[in-house]
Amino acid sequence: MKKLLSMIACCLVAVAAWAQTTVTGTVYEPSGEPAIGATVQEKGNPATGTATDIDGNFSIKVSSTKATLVASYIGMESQEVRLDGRTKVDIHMKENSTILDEVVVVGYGTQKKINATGSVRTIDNEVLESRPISNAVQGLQGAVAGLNITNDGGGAPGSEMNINIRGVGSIGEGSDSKPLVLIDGMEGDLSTINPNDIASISVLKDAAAASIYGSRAPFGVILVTTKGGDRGTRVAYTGNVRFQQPTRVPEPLDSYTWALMANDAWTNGGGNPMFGTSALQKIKDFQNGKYQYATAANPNATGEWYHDYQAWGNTNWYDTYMKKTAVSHEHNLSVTGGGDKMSYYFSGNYLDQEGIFKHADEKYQRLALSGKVNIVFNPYVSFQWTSRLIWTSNDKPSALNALFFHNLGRRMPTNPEKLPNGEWSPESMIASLEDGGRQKQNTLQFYNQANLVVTPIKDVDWKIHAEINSRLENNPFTRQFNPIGYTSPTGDYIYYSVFNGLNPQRKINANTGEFQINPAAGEKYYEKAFTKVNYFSTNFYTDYSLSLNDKHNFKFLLGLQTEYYQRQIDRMAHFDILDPNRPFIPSEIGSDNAINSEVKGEWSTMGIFARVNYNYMDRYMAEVNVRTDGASRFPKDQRWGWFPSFSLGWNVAQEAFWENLTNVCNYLKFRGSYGVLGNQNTTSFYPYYQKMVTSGAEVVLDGKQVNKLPVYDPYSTTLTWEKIHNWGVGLDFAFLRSKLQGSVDWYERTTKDMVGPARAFSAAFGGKAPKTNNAEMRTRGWEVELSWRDRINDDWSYSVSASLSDYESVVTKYDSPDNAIDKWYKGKKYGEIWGYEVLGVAKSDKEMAEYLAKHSQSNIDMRGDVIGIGAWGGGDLMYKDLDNSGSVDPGSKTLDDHGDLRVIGNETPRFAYSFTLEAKWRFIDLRAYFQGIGKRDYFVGSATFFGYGGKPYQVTLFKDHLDYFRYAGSELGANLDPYYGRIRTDGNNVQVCDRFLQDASYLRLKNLTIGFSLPENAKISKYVQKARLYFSAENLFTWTKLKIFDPEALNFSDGDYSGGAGKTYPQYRTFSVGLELTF
Amino acid sequence: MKRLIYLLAGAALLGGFSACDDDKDNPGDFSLKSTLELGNITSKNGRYYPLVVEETKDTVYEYFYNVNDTLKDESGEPIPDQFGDPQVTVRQESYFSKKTAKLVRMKQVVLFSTEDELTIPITSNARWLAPEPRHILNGEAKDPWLLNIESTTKGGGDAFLKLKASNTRSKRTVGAFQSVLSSDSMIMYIIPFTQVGRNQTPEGYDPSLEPGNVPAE
Repeated sequence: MKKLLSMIACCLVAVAAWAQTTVTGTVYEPSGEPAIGATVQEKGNPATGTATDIDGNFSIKVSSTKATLVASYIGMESQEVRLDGRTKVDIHMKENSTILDEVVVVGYGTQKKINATGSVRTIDNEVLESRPISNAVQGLQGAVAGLNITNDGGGAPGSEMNINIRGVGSIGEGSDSKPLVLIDGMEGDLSTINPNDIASISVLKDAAAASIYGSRAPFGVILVTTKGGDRGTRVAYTGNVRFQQPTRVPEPLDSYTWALMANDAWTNGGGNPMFGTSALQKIKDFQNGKYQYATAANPNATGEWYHDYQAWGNTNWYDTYMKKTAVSHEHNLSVTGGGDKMSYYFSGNYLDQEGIFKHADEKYQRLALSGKVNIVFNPYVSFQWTSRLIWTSNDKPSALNALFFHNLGRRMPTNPEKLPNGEWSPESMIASLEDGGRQKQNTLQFYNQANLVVTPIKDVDWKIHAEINSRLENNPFTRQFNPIGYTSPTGDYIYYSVFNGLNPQRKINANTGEFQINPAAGEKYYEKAFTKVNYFSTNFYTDYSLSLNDKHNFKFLLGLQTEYYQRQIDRMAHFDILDPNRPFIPSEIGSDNAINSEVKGEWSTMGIFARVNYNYMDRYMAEVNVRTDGASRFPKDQRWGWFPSFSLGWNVAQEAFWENLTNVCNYLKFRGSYGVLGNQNTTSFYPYYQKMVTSGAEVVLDGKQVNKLPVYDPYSTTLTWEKIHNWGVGLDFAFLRSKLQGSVDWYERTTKDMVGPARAFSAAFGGKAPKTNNAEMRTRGWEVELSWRDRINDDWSYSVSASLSDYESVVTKYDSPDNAIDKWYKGKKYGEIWGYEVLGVAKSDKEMAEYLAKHSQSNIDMRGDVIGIGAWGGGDLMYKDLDNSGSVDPGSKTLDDHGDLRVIGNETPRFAYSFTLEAKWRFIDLRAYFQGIGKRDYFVGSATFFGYGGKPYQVTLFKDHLDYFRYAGSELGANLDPYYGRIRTDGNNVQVCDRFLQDASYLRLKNLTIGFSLPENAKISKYVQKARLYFSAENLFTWTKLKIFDPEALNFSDGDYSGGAGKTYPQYRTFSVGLELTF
Repeated sequence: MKRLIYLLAGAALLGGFSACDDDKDNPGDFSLKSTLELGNITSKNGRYYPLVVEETKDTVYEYFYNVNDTLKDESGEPIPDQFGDPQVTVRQESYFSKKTAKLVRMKQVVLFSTEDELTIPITSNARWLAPEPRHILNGEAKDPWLLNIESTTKGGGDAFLKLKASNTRSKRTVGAFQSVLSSDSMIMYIIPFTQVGRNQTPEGYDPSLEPGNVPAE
C-alpha cells in the first residue's frame, strides 16, 4: 500500500513540470454571439481549463501547438479543435444533438435512436468499468429497466444469476423463457465473457425489436458488441485487487443460551429437556475455562466421543468457517490500433477469486484471450475475424455444496472443532472439506467468427453480409471422495461419510446422466466427465438503405440464419480407486465399482427473415418484420411457423408545430408494437420422442440391485411452437436540450400454447402424461427510465439516472382437473404464496383453550386440541378460522375448497429499481449506484428461520430466534409479546402464515467508486495517455426488513442438493483498489 | 476543495456504516417476576370450595452439592486403598439461594364423598408445575384417591388445574395434598385435601356459594 501511495505522490509532483505555449481565441454560440463563460481546456489536461470572458475571448497555456483544445458550454455539444501550429483560434459551438445522433444496436444492424420503433435500450460499458465484479451479468443488474437480473444464490465463486427480460414467460414445465444472448451476433455466455471486452450492450425487449431473431428470441435479446480496433496504437492495462467480506451472516448463539433454548424447544414439544442441571453447569464451566476439552470418551457408548447434546463446548461455527476477508485480483491488458486498411484489438484478462470459506481452499479462475482484426480490402470488401478463448476453473471441496450450507447452520455449538486427540471432530465437517476430496469444473470455450461485408456498388448503401460463427466447448469435470475418519477413545479408526449423516447412495439421473453419489464411510470414489459442445451458426443477410427526396427513408433487410448445436457428455466413475493422491479410472471388466453414462443430443434451426423500416423526415416511422422458422425439436408436420411483427412511431418533436417548443422538449416519440414469436426452447431436445428410461429397481437378484425398464412415457404427436404474443406502447422523450431524457413503456405478453403436462394417466398405466401445448400465461408490465445530465461550471459536472419497472404474470389457461392450489391452475399468479392468517400468540393456556374450543386446530396438531406443554398452550399461534367452520384446516387444498388458506403474498420480485449518481470534479470522479427490489414476499419454512423447523433434528438457532415466547421466570428473560411463538421441536408454530411472511424487498448500494485521474505533464503524456486510480466497493450497504438473511442469498442449488435461505453461499461485500493505465 | 473534503468524508462515513452490522439483542425481560395465584375450587358436581390461606411464609432454598477430596497423608501424598487406588472422600455441603421464595399453605379442603372432577383456576405470568397429589403423611407416594388429570401437570400462564377425586364410602383416613409452583420455584402453593364419608357434609360447607346459587351481578 505504501508503494502505491508513493507512486501517486510522485505522479502528482510530476504535474508541476509544464512546457507551456499561450493560445488565444474566441468562442461563439451557434447564433454567432460570443459565448460567455464557456470552458476551454487542453484535451487530456483538465488542469489547463479556463473560461471565456464577456466577449467570448479566452487565453490558455497549452503544452504545445500540436495540442487539441476542447470547448464546452452549457447546453452545447463539446467541440474539439486541433491547433496544428496555430496560437489563435475561433471556436464555434453547436447545439447539443446527442439524441439525434444516438444510435442503438438492433438485430443485424444499428438504428438511430430517434427512428427506433421497438423497445430497445443500448448502454455503453460504463456499468461494467471499475467495478469488482466477477462477470458481466453482475454489472448489468439494475442497469436497464425490464432486464431483470436476480440473484438468490449468494456469492459462490462462479455462480450464475437469473436473467429474464420483462418477466417470466413460461411456467417451466417443459420450456424456458431465458433471453437470447448474442455476442457479436453469435450465441454466447454472458457470465464468462471478459467484461472489459464489452463495448456496448443492447437489450431488445419487445417482439418488434427481437422478432428478427425469431424462435430463438421470443423472450428478448441481449446483444453484446465487443470492442474493436481503432486508429493509433494504444496499450491499456486495468487491474484491481479485491477484499471480500460475507454480508449478513447469521449470528449464532453461545452454547449456554443455545442449550437453554434447546431445552425449551424439547419441553414445549412434549419431550424432556436435553440438558440437565449438571450438563448446563458443565457448559458454563467450559465457557469459563474450567475444561480444556469440550468432549471426552463416552462410557455409555464404547468407542464414541461425547457429541451434540452430550458435549459441552462453545463453538461459533460461522467463525470457524468464515474468513474475515478473502482476496481476489483481476488484470486486463489490451492492445488496440490500426489505420485505414486494417485495425485490431487484442486483450487478455485474468481473474483469480478466492472463496470465503476457511478449510475449503476454493479458487475460481478465468483466463480470457480475445482478438478482433478488421481488414478493409477495398471500398467494396471488408473482412472481420474475431476469436475468443475463455478458460474458467472452479476448484472446491466436493463437500462444499448446498448440503454443507444446510448443515453449517445445524452445527451445535456444544460440539468442538477438535477432539482431545487433536483430530477434527466428525461433527465439525472440517475433515470433509480438507480431506474429503475435491471437485473441479473447468470450462474451455473457443469462439471464432468470420464476417465478410461486401458493398457491391460504391456510394450506395447496400451491403451483403456473410457471417460464419462457431463455438467449441470442452468442459472437463472431476470429483473425488476420499475416506475420512477419526480415532475413537478406544484407539480404533472410525470412518465416516463425507456427507456425514446421509445414507449411502449410488444413482444416475436418467435425463442428465449425472451421478448422484453419497459414498459410504471409508469409500473412495473418483469421477470424470467430459462435456463437449459444438455450435455452428451462419448469418447471410443483405441490407439496403434508400432515401427519396431526403424525406422518405427506407431500409430493407433480408436474410437467412442457420444454427446447429451438438452436445455430448461422457461420464465415468469408479469406487475403490487405488491411490486417492493420483486418482485414475482403472481398466476393468464387469466391475461393480464402475459407473458410466453418456448423454448426447443435437438440435438445429433455420430461419428466413425480412425487415422493412420506413421513416418520413424522422417524424413518422414504421417497421415490419417477418420471419419463418423451422426447428428440429418438433415433429416434421409441426416444424415450421410464421411469425410477423410490426411497429409504429411518431416523433412529435419533428412536427412543424413543435418548433417553438424544441427549446423545452427536443424529442418526444410515441411508439407501439405488436408481434408474435415462436418459442422452440423446450427443455428436452426431443420432446416428441417416445422415451424409455432404465432405473434401479427395488429388487435384488443374486445380491445385486437390478435395473428395471418402466412403461414408456407417451409422447404428444401434436407438440408444436409456443407462441408469444407481444404488444406494447412506449414514449421516448428529451427535455431541456437533452439534459433530461427518459422513456416509458407498457406491455403485455401472452405465451399461448405453452408447454404443460397433459392430464395424469391412471396409475394402472404407470407412465407419465406427455408434455403438450395446453397452457397459457400472460405477463403485463411497465418500465420507466429517466436521466439528467448537467455541467455546473468548469470543474463540476454530474448526472442522475433512475429506472423502475414492474411486471406480473398470471396463468390464464392450464389443464388442472382439481385446481390444486399447490400446483398451477387457471388464474394463478406466478410466485403466489398460500398460507394461514395468524390472529396472534396465545398468552396463556387458558386463552389457547378458549380459542381451540371455538376453532379446532387439530388439523395442524394431529394430537388434537389438547392443552398442555406437549400440545397446544400459551405461546402457540392461533390461526384464523377464515371460513368460520369451527376448524382451522387447509380443506382439500383446491381452489374450491381451500379451507382457511388464502393467498398471503407473492415471491416474485416486483418494482425493480435502480438509480445512479455520478459527479466529476476536475480530476476526481464519483459514482454511486443503487439497486433494489420494491416488493417481494418470501416465506422461509425451515429451521434457519424458525430455529426448530418442525423436526427435532432440524435445529438452527441464531440470535434472532431469541425473540420467542417465554413466561416470566425463564432464565432467558420473559418475552410475552414475541415475534415467534414458543419454540418447539414439533411443527405447531411453523405453518406457512402471514405472520412470518418476510418482506424481502431491499435497497442496496451496489457500487460506490471514487476515481482519481492523474493529470499528465508533458513528459509523462508522451508515454501515458490515461492514468486513473480508483477505489470501489460493491454491495457496500443494504437496507432491508428481511430477518437474518441476505435478500440475494435465499436459494442455492448445487448438483444434487438445493438449499433455501440460510443454506446458501453468503453474498459478498467487496472493497477494491484498481488502476487504469493507457499508454 | 471544501466540496471535495465533504465528498470524501461522506464516502468514508458510508463505508464506516457499512462495516457495522446490527447486533441482535435478547428481547427477554429479566425484571419481570413470576406471579402465581389460585382461585377457588369448583367441582363438576356443581360444588364450590373456597381456598383459604392458612400460612404464608418466605423461604430461602438451600442447595446441596458434593465435594470430593482425595485422602492425603501429612506430606500431601494420596493415601492408597487396599487396591492401590487413591481414596476419595465425599462430603456434602450446601448453600442458601439469594432469592427469597414464597410458600403459601392453604387450609385443608374437605370434599364430599361423591366428588369427581375438580377445577382450580390459575392466574399466572409464568410456566407452572402441578405434580401429582401426594400422600399427606410422608409426601412421597402418590395417593390414588386424588389424581391430577395428566394434561395439566404443567402449564403456562392462566389456566385451569384439573383434579380427579374418587368416590368414597367412608371418611378418608389419609389426606392428600396438591402443590402448585412456578417453574422457577419462586412461588409455591400447598393445598391439603380430605374427603368425608357417604351422606356426610363437610363441616362448614356453604351451599349458598355454589355457582348455581350465586345470583348474577
